Amino acid sequence: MDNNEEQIISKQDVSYVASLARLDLNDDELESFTVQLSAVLVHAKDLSSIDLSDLPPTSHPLALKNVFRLDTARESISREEVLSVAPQRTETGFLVPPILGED
Amino acid sequence: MEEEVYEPVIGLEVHCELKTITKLWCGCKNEFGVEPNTNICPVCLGLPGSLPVLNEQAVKFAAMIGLALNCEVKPSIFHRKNYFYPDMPKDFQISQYDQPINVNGFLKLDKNVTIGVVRAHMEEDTGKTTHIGSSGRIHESSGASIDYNRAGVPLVEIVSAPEIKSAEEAKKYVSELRAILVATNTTDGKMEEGSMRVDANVSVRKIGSIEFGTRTEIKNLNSLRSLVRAIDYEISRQINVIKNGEKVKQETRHWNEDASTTVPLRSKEEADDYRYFPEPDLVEVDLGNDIVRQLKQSLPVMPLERRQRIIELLKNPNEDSAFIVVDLDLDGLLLEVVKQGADAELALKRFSNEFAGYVEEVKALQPERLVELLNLEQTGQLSATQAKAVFAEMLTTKSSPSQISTGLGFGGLEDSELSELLKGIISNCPNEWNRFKDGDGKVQQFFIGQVMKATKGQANGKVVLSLLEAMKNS
Repeated sequence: MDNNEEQIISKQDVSYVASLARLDLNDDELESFTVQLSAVLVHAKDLSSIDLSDLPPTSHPLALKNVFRLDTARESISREEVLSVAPQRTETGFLVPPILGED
Repeated sequence: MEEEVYEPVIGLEVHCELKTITKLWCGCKNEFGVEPNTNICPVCLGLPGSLPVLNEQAVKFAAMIGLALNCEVKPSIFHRKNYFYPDMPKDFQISQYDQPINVNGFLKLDKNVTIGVVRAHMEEDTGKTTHIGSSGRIHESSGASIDYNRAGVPLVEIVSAPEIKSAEEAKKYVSELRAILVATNTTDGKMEEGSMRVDANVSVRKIGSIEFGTRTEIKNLNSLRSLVRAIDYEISRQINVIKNGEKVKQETRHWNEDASTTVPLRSKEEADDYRYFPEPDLVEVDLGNDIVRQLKQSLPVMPLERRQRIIELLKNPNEDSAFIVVDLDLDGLLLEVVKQGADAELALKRFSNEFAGYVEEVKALQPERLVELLNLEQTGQLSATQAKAVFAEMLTTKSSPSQISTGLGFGGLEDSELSELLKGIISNCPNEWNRFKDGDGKVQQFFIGQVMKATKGQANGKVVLSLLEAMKNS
């Protein structure tokens, strides 16, 4: 691990992102990921050294547009087949734990 | 101390489900009210390895909505909006973020009021959650059952500018928007079925202030009535908070119809941090000028203009009645009967009331028969009540209104017969007659009632009244 590597994000940033992603990281992991993620961001930051003002942003690596499907219905799959592999089910639906923040 | 005066600032986000045959990313049917979890597949269940493919019709519908709202239709891309919630099986919702399909539009409420439409973007609907109480038949502890039939149904979210100034104006905006959407035939606009859903952003500020106050977002507005009540409640709640020297908290609140209050929702995430990023499984959408032009040409005449066409015919404009007639799509027929000689005022009155309960039946009638009916009433040959009875018969028989009228025994009473009848009633009721002669207007109903009783409702009240007046003066 290169300790001289510039750290452009903090442990708090990583901890916050981890919590949004529901990742439970211990202190060592936070430390390690902060360094690794910083390195990735520093690498990406190289792009800032080039003048890209004439280039439109790239939203997709493929030079494709308008990939469409016709509005035609096809058979859905069997409810029983799907529900039989669900962790928990009701007669007709997927059973999930009670949801906070709803009445 | 001078009393501070506050004004509300309201912006609305309206979600509408598109009337496509299939969902947005897969060929599962887009249907309301079917057995739970019957329109599902690996794509709308978010199973690993499945890929979305965009429904072209949904894109065209979205562009039509944008065009109907005077938006610019632009090349657009999709983003992932990340959050964990069981109604979204992928753990993200595919939506549009900084490059939506429609931007910079407006909606005209009437000649004087225009509300800006910031954007109208595409996204997918979520599944439907049904809460299960612990007392339910499921032996596990209480939880929720999810139906993914609605997951992946195409939505357009229409975001207004924060330019709405009252709860009533918000209602007008939603009514007008609904009318436009229904006219474009892209959505059915049923608030009660959830195919059109409204969230309101409400803040207050001192009158004259340029800066906005802190806003709250109100959810669960399932009807125009809830919309008005919730906004009015929230405005006074915020004003009270400020007057008590406290600050309004930026939060999402839930309208509780039974308690008539808004209550804060515990937040789903720590913050609204959805970490949007471009959806790698979908490419750019760019309909191009030719298709956009074709879609624009395919748009029908908008409701505001259709109402205007009715109102132009009237001496006393009645916006509400015109709204009803256009909403029921009866305006074409109304214009036709007026063109064929019916009185516009009377026609509008009947179309927006008596005829409104029988839209399909009325549409099936020949305009000539409606013209004849309206003319019989206009010329006093039929009373309003009689005309209503004739109308009811017209829906089930082919006979002409005058034939029906004769069949019901209407209009068979000559004025002379009525005069004779009245003379008899007057001689039996001298006290009432004297009161009538003294100008007591209330007794006229008594005489009309007596005549109706004697003729079994076949007399025309207006004619009876004019005969009474003539007798009083003779």
